[in-house]
Amino acid sequence: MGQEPVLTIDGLGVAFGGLRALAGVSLQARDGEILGIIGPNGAGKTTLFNAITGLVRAAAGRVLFRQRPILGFRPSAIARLGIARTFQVVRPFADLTVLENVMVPLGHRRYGGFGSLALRLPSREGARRLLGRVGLDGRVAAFPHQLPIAHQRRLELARALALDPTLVLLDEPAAGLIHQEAMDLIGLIRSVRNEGRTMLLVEHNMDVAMGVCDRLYVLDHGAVIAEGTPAKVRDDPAVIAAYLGSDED
Amino acid sequence: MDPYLANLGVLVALNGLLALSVNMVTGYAGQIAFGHAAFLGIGAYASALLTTKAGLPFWAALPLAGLAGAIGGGLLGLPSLRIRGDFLAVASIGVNFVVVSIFQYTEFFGGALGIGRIPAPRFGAGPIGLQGFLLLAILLLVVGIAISWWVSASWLGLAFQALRADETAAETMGVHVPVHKLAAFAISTGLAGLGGSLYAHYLTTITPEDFGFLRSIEMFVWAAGGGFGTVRGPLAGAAILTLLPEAFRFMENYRLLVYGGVLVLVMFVEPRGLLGEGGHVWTGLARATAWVRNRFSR
Repeated sequence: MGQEPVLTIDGLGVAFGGLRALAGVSLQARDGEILGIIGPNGAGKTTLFNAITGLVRAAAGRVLFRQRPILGFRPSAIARLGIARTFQVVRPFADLTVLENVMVPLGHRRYGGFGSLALRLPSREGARRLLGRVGLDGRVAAFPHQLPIAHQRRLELARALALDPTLVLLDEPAAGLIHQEAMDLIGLIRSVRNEGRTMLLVEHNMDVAMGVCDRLYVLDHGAVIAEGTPAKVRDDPAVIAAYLGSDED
Repeated sequence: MDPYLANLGVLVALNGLLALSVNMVTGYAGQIAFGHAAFLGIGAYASALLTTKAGLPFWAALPLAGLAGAIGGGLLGLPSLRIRGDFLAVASIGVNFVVVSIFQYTEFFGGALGIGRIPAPRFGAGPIGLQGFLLLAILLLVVGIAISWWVSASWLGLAFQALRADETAAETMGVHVPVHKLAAFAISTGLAGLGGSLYAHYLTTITPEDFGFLRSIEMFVWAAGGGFGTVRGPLAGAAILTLLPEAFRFMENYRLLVYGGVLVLVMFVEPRGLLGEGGHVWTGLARATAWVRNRFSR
């Protein structure tokens, strides 16, 4: 695990009308790290992902990906730089087969922009291999809605990996999964990290977050209230107050 | 060859091309196009003006008409970058009215009288006859089919279908949505422009009304009735809905009634179009051919 930051977020602010969804968030993800983002509902975790991937506009701050500022880039440009993400509510391409779903991001590098006028499809073999990694090689011809939710989440992960990303953002990958499925997912997340990819994980499931993350950031009301190893964060009084509610609330 | 059949053949091929044009932008890329006759018109006027006023031969005007359609579609596709769904549908109708008005109220375009005496294409010694037009129409249709197949077999087609399904997800998968939307518009309206050129030289006279809203709806219905997102569907839709009114000619005044009734019925029974993916007819046909194939492969 290297020490140079893959992602540096500095004073990131996002506002929706008068609502401040993110109020000056700063964090760093080091090379090869699995970083957890936890916090109560409405803390701004998904907004943070949306700001990093260009889906919402930031009002303040900087986001550096491998020392390069990326705020203001289109989502597709950010994806091509090597930041992939999944969605909390899965968003497969409904009319495309499982295999084609993976071929879309797989083709981005060679065919993105005007290169997409090329006749050739990205290799089916490559897409098959990715689906094999997440255990979906038997369902290549199915349509996403025919898969159980656990498999749809795996499809999301396969699509993200198809971008060959340096940084993978997973938005609640364990939501809706039963225990065994969540444990399988943890194994999968570890194997992705072992390829040298850095991961950011929003997670509600504390077993998953504590079990897989090297470090955690705790968000509340759009701000970081704690940071550190899972053991350290678990005992932090500010975190306990945020989750259980303090006397002042 | 019977001139009646030849004329019918030209119409079927031309309408097939126009249905493929709508299919490109609505079927593959999911952008509603209720004003596509505008681009048929842009191609027709471009070709007519280039041959009558600039004195260009048809064979030079034809690709330029396609180009004019593509450029027009690229520009008028810009609203699709900001608006979606129902609002885009309304905007596309607006585009149609604007283009027709420009033809109608500009001296340069011949006003309400349009442009007449558009010369027939010349090939070898003289102008091509009716059979020449039929050949030309089939040739252009083949171009349309080839381009449709090329798109659906390439990553471009996958990108179109991805943005049709979910623009946000497509973007996060590396698909530059605006570029691909405009590409879909330009390819689509380029095909319409080619069709417009054929239309102008075939009819020899064009007027603004030829390219009005009703024509747009016709084009849309051919593709929707046949099955969006396939090549076979729009072709079948255009052929059937072009020939059907001819078959019902003996009914005189009830023709349109039957025509409209058939449309309602098709959309009711086969909402994905007659030959659309996953529809009853297509699934049945696929099952039947599989059965036959099994019989003979033993």
